[in-house]
Amino acid sequence: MNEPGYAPAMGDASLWRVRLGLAAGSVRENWALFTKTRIGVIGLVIIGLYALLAGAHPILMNTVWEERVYDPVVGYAFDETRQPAPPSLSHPLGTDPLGRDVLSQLMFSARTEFLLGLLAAVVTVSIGTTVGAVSAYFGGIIDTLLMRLADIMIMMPGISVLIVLSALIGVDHLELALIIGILSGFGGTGVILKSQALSVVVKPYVEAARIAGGGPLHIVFVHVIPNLLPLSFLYMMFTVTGAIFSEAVLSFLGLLDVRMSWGLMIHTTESAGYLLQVAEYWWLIFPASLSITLLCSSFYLVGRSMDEIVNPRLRRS
Amino acid sequence: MRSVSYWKIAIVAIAAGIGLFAAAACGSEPAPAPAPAEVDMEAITAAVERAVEASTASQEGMAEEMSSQIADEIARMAAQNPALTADQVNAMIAEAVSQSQAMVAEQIAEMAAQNPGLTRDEIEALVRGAGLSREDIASVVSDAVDTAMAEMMVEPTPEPVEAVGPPIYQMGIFAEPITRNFWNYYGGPGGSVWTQYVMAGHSASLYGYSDQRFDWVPNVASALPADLAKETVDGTEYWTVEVPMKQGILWSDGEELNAEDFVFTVNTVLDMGLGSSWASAVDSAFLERVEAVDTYTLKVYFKTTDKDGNPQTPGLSVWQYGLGFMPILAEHYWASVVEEAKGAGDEAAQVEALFAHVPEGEPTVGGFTFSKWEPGAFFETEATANYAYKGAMVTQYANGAYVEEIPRLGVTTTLFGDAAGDTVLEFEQGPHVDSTLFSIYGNQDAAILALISGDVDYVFNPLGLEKGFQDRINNAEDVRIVRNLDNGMFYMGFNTRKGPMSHKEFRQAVSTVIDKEFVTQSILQGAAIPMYAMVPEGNALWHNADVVKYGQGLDRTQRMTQAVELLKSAGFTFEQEPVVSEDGLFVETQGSGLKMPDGTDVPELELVAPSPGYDPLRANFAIWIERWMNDLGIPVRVNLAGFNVIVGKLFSDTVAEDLDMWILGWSLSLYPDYMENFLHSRNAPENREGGLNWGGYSNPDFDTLSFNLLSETTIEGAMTSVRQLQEFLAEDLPYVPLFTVPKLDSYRPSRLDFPYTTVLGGIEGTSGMQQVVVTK
Amino acid sequence: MTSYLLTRTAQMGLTLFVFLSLVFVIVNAQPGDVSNFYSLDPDIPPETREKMQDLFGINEPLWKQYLVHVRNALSGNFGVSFGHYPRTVMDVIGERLPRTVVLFLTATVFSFYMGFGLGKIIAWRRGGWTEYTTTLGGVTLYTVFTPWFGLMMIWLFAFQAGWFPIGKFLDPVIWRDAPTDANSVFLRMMLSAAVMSAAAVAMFAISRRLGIGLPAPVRALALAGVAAAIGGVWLVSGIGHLAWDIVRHMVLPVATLTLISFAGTMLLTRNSMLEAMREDYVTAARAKGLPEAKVRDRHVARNALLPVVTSFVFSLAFAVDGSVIIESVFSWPGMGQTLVDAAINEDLPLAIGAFVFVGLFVLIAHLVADLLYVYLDPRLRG
Repeated sequence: MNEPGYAPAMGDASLWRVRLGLAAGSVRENWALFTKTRIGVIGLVIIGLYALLAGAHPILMNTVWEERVYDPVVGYAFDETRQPAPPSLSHPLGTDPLGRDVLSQLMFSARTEFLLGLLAAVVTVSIGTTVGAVSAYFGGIIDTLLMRLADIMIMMPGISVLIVLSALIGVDHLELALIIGILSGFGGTGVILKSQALSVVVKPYVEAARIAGGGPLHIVFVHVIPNLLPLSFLYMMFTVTGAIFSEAVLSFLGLLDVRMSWGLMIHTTESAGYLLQVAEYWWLIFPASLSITLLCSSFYLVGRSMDEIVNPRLRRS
Repeated sequence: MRSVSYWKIAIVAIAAGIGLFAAAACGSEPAPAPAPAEVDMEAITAAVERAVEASTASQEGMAEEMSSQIADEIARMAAQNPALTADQVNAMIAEAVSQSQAMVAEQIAEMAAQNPGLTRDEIEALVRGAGLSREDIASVVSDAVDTAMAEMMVEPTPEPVEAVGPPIYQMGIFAEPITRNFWNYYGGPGGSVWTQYVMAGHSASLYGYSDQRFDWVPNVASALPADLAKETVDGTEYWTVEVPMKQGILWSDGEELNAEDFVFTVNTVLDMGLGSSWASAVDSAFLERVEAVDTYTLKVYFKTTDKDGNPQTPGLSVWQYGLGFMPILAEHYWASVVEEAKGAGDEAAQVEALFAHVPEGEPTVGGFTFSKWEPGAFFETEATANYAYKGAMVTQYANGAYVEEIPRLGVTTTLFGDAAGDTVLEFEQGPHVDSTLFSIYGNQDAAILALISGDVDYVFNPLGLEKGFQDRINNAEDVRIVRNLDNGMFYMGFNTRKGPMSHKEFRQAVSTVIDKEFVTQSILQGAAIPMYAMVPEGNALWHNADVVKYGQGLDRTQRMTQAVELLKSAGFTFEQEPVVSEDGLFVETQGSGLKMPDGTDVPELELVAPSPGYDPLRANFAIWIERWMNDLGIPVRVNLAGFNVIVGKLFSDTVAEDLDMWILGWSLSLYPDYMENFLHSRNAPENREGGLNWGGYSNPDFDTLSFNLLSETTIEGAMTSVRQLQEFLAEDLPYVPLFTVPKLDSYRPSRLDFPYTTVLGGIEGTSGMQQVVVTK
Repeated sequence: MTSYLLTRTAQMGLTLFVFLSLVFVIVNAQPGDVSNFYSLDPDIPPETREKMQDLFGINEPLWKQYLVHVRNALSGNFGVSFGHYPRTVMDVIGERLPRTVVLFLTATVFSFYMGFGLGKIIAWRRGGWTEYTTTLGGVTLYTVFTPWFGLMMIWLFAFQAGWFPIGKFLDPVIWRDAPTDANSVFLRMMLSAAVMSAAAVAMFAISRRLGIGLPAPVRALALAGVAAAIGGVWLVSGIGHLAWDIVRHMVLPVATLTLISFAGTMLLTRNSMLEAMREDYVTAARAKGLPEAKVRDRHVARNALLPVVTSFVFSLAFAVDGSVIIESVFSWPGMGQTLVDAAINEDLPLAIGAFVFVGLFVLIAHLVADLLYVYLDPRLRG
């Protein structure tokens, strides 16, 4: 952990400046440790590649790709006679059963997946960190209430909840991100961050801040939460994995109300009956499935590698 | 790896197909003919009735494809069932075999079969080298190869199937049947298509549809009924009719079916207030009572006035297609169960008690009775030993005559004219199998896989058989796809209570910009057929092909221009009219600032449609419609939602205000009285709880026209009325019919023989033809 | 310790109640009701719709429905399933649960052994290529898009190679003449597994009580004896071939589940081992000059086992949750498929029932995990 163990009396601004300086130093040091884990680097590279794909899509759509052909949802490959068409120069990954460009769908969906993962992660971590910090700092009835709530959330069979919700009520990407964020933030992530926060609230500088007259909220947000952030960041990675995976499964089952996503690409393949023609129609099956798998495992690997650094008991000396 | 072996098999199949084709061609026409394909076909058509059927099966009508199919069919028939085929076929095959050229062709076919490595060119060279070739054959063969590649792969020399135990008809389904209680299945929550498939062989009714032609023929009744007549009994006037019943029809437990069984079934429906299909078969608004005049004679009493005292006539949909089609259940089994159920409390509890009864040992009157159900795994029925129709010969003649010879009852029924001339259908009633085994799979993928790997002989695909599945089946050995038209429609509905949907011209303009041909042919690659009339073309008797078809055959520019004109003619105004690009491919500038005739802006409209997860076809269609309407300048947004969300919206109390447009589908009845159900103003939800006219369509002319159909008692009258209704709706467009999906059946021809495969709704429409299928 | 367990149990009860309320809210927040679903047929007269609603009690006020819901859920009465009408929800669940339990118990045991074994190794070889490749492979499988992976397994091993049946849990042709139904076979299979684990636990307890570790061959022999006895009973039972048919159908889904889930246990074991390796007694053991393998298995692994065992219980609980995907892909009609089908077909009572059962399962697993923790961790005992 990179926790400053001094300067309780400084003003907020200078406190942050010191923190930033320390953070910059520790980033360098941690980066060295991170690269040592290798698997994390692999993950980062893959994530980077997908980010490039996602970023390139709007550019391509505005320059070389004609909208009526390459639109991921209502495009149609007029130049192909038979759909799904195998890969060609104009359609590097072929077209889907409805005559839409697979590469365009893949790139378009990559952006959606990133946004979904990011949103779910931010929601999770905002809730989780707050819950953890508040619960650890205040203890008592607040702690009990929040932890019982956490029990319930942990007890929630996640996939089943999402299936029931999306089948009965109808869920889109935004709602999905919120649900995952709430389930995880009030649940598992909150509990883990609380146990971390417990070790922070007993630190001398928190005591010092209290004696110096800092209000509870001030202490929680200025002193406790910043020290939870590295761990929070780690759990963001796992949330991203979970969010992308859940989205894919729900879309695959045909339960999400979305127009395009990786899971939906496979659902389209499935409902059109191409799912088991693996060798003949590989471009309908592999790009989306592999993308889901790769992006999920990349975030997971990055998370694991960060764990090696953030978790003092696993940290190499 | 697998693809390579598929490919080899394809080559073998094609090679053998070529050989057989040559054999048939040479056999039937020794002297070279100028157009061998067509001449051959004619010769064969004249010779073999069954082959005619196969040829008409292909409505697309590729002569070459038919010829090769016919050749294949003859060869297969000759090879396997010489005894069963017509004499002419035998003669023809014998002639063909005697031809030395044919022998050579067969040898080539065999050679090709043994050398999967042969390429198409090599095989063609072989055929040519053998002196068989004529230029025409070569071209026909080449076409046949291409067609076979693309369309259908038939294993020409099926492996002799080893007889493993008794004949079992194995079918694949991919959802669990709900119940095996017939009351529940027919008129309760148990009525899913899957339940229908497994219960199909269990019951009988007074009248039914004949095979393939859907003639209205007697089943339990012994003859067609006399016309309804007015008769006054105890001072009250009724419409009455007497129905004689066949004698000697036995339930599976040996009891005889009689008029009391029918009376019992009707009374149970009325007493317990059963709903759903029971209620539409036994319509208490019309039916007064039924009684057994004697053991084998029924008398039916219909009311002559409605509850307000207005005179009414029980039309075709009430009597012939209603009560006449009601399934009959066994009184001696059910009477005590019904009695017990009636003691179960209020009406709902009584019905529940009846539905909850597990019918152990229930006697059935159809060809099958229940035998075993392992939930989640399979459902099995076994053939009834004393089925009355077993061994009955059914013959249909080209002149319309229908003959039914039932040896077990000693009865021969001849209907619709003299049994003379050409026969179009002839088969023996089964069951020809010992049992039917329905394997339950978790999804369509698994079921199709089981079909391909030979675990099942037939797969039910009520949700359609999409391209990829067809592709897989075509690439598999010994699985055949049969294509038939289906009696269903997908449509877009308007809430006609609200502007702008209340304007006829608006609906016509929307219909004009929807390019059904483009979506069905290009995007859906022919998986769907565009629709304009409210009765699908497959329902040929009732379909009206001459309705007005907005936008058909127009290009994008013309569609836009015409739609703009239509809107302007109704007083709509644009700030900016849509501009189509010079090549006519897309709209450069969307229309905007559309105002209704009263000067207000057209509000943002919502089109509710199934999400791609629920139905990719309709979702895609909806997104295109959204795009075209936006191009025209109509602000519309598609809301893709799950099925129950859409249905929830349609049935909500605020449907009149919240609904704009929606896309859904209907599976239709053969007798098209549904138009009244969907669109008569009395069926709007505000006028009738739970009504299906969600768009609130209300047009006095249509109301009169559609209501009259309900009292129509003659087919001729009904046909005129139905044609008028279709014309009216195609013009007024409360629904825009979008498309209909053909029914594709897939089965293993080496295992199954169906007496016919060309039929509206396909083999699936008859629940897999369990009563008549022959397993090999 | 008793008071601790009592508090935990009370908390669980409260949690259950809140959970049930939540379930009710979710289910009632959805639009429409079942009568919509069944009346979408022009042949059904509109009056029937109301009749249908009465039949299912859908027109009762919401609060009344809620009270009924809680009472029913607590008494295990979830009413009648729409999709299997008129069977009760409990009947359907009772039929589906054993299938899920047998499948996932087997898979969880396999993946636990695999994960624990591999975890030991990669912790010991931290930083080596073994670790990287195993971790990479494990994580990829762990996060693989499960439906796709399952289908690939079917495609490769069932379709192309033809080694295993394609989906389903039994072969109808074998079972159509079977003297018994599938569930009694499943129940007997569960019984066999229970006897087997009881034997293993007894062995563990005996050797612990005696204070001497029974030699490994003796233990293996004894377990093999019990297994042989069970096998013998199956052979003479006359339904052995039916059980074998089920086992044949289980191979692929179990293999798939094992492959996609072992990494969780593996990574947990690794971390737990790494933490344990920092303890003083490990250094001491090494200082004594004990062989590495012995230090690893006796001293580190044994102490690293604690969190892993508790996670095993959780993973069992969540296996039921995760079963939806695998069961759908492999046509295995267990709880997961039941829940998905019920949710999609708006079979509300069954959806509630299945959902509550999955939740209940997780809750009980928590309790068992707590118990185990107390039992295994000497610091919490006494």
